[in-house]
Amino acid sequence: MGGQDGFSRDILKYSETSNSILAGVKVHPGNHWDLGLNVTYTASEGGLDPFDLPADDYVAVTPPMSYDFSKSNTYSNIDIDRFNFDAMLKYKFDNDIWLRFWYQIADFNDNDPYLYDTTGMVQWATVTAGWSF
Amino acid sequence: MKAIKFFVLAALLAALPLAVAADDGESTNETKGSIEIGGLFTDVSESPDMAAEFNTINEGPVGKIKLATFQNWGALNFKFKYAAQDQNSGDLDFDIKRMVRSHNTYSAFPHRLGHDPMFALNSTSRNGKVVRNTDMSPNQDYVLNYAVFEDRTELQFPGFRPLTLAVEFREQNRNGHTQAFTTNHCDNCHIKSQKHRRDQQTTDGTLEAAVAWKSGVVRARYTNRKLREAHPSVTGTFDKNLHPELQAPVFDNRMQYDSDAGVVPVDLKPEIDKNTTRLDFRWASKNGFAVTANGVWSETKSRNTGNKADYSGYVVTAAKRFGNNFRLRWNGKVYQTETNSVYIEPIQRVTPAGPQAGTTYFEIYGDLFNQTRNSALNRDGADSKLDASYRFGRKWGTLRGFWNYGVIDREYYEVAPGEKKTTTNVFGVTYRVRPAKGLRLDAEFKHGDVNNAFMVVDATCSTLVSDRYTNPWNPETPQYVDSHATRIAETTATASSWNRAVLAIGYSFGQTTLSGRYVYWDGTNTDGDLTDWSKNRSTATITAWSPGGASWDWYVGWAYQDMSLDTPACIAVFDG
Repeated sequence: MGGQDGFSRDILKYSETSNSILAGVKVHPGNHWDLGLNVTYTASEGGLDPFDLPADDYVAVTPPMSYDFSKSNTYSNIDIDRFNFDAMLKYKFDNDIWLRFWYQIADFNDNDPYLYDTTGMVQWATVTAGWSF
Repeated sequence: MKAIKFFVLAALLAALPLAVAADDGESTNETKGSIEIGGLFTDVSESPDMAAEFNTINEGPVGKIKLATFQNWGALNFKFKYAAQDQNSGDLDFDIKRMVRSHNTYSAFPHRLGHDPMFALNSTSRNGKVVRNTDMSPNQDYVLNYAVFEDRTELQFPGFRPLTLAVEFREQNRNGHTQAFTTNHCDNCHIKSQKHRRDQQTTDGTLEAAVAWKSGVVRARYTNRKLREAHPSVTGTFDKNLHPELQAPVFDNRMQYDSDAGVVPVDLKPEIDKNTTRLDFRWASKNGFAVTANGVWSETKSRNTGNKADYSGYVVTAAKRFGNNFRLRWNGKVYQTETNSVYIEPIQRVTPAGPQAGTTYFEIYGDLFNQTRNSALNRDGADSKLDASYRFGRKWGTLRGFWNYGVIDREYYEVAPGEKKTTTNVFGVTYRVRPAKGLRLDAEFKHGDVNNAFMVVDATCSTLVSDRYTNPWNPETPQYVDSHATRIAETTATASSWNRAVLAIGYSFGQTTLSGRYVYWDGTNTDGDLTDWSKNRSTATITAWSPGGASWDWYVGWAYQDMSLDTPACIAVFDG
């Protein structure tokens, strides 16, 4: 450290907003069929307002110490959305034996990556046969 | 732990003959279950870290089995679901003549931690100083596989029904890899990361005895916890300390480590032992008066350092009904925590070259630092919660008012200049009413006022104005400790005054139920020097659901959250 010229101060204003919608239905159209659907969607945003940490007097005599904070507020931005959907279809051959199909998708979008881009989508599908006794 | 396992086995063996002897002659014999088998297929595009943060992405066979049997000797209920090697769960409940009752659960799933490429740490200053990184395990997936088994088994003997003995066992394993970071200085700043294999096990064993009578119960518990790491650390070699431009070892005396220390352990994870004893008492009279009391004593010890933390706490709750409409309840708690102080021995390196060659930092600038660390958690605390409610009747609802008071008296830590004590008062009122058939309204308002809310005293905004020195080895050059000593601002993330309002409504018509809830919270803290903190948050939910009928049901919902935070930022203006 070659020296210090006091401090610089500003108020950081951070805000975030999140919205989620969800819906689902289960249908039993007859003795043989079961159907279930679920869907959720979430979108979230967060970030700092622009800020400045001026040190005008000091920078006037020490030009190399001028810093540009014009983009600093954007470095920790959050802007993500997520879609989840799952469907289940079950067919009962009789009361004791059935076939089930299950599908799920999770689609995550990282629209303003922070440490790294976490965007990704995963799909799962299961086919099973069952017997009750 | 071996003693607990022995106790469980011995108690079960002792109870079984009693259970058989208690056969009442009636015959029960029913068994049912199901088996489901198949396959799981997955598809992953881009990163699974958030899309499947807690889910498997493995493909393979899946299976589910359920088995329930009810026999003369008792009942057994077993469920197990296998989705993948890293994701499965199961339950096992059984009772033998209601004298041995056991509840066991097991759950395993992965937790994807993400791999930080450390790009955010890279930077270059105008005069060529660089912050760079080295990822020594660039292809490593950082995932911890979490698995937990929990058991509670109760024993009750036919000859003495008031006595219940119980044992609990919990084992949590976290296996996988985490990303270990080390920071090297000062041949420029160099951040290194490497994989750290983790096989962490947390084991809890509990013995419990309870005696119950018609109007009360007394219960005693003892829990032993062990946290163990099979690989407590990894190893690393720090960079040679060099001046970034001169590339010479001219300020080693400001550093703790250098490459000459060789290979040293880094990313050390502590191992812990914890013992907890708890006593509970509950009693209720016929005239509507009830009292509960408990005491908790625990000792937590680090196996690495020998540091110890003790806790003792006592809680009493008393409640009394006056007539059919008025109810008064009080809850009081006192507690104490104590952690030993530690002295951290600094490594005083000698600079090999340059103007300060042959000297340590202390030899030039003096011993400026207090290396003894006292625990901010050491405190005596007390809480009091008083609430009274009055029921106006079925139509006009219930009004409830409450006053919560808390005090924390710290041994060392100042939360405001010269103040170690925080006092909190929360006043609130709630009103719940059902004004019409199917309609329910809830409203709540709380106000909190905190005297000396948690703040860090003189944490930022250093007022130091010094001369400028072209030679950084000049002993008169101000040091960071001088900059710290002239800080004037208190920082916080805790409100000293806040309000919370809740409004909830529920309406049922036909087979459909609508419900909505809105919560608003607003808090500020301007108590300290340059402390200018405020936060507000709104959350709202609306849901509708209907069981429909025998052939279908549905639900739909919306959730909203909005938060804003104001907090000051302060930086010291340094030259160099």
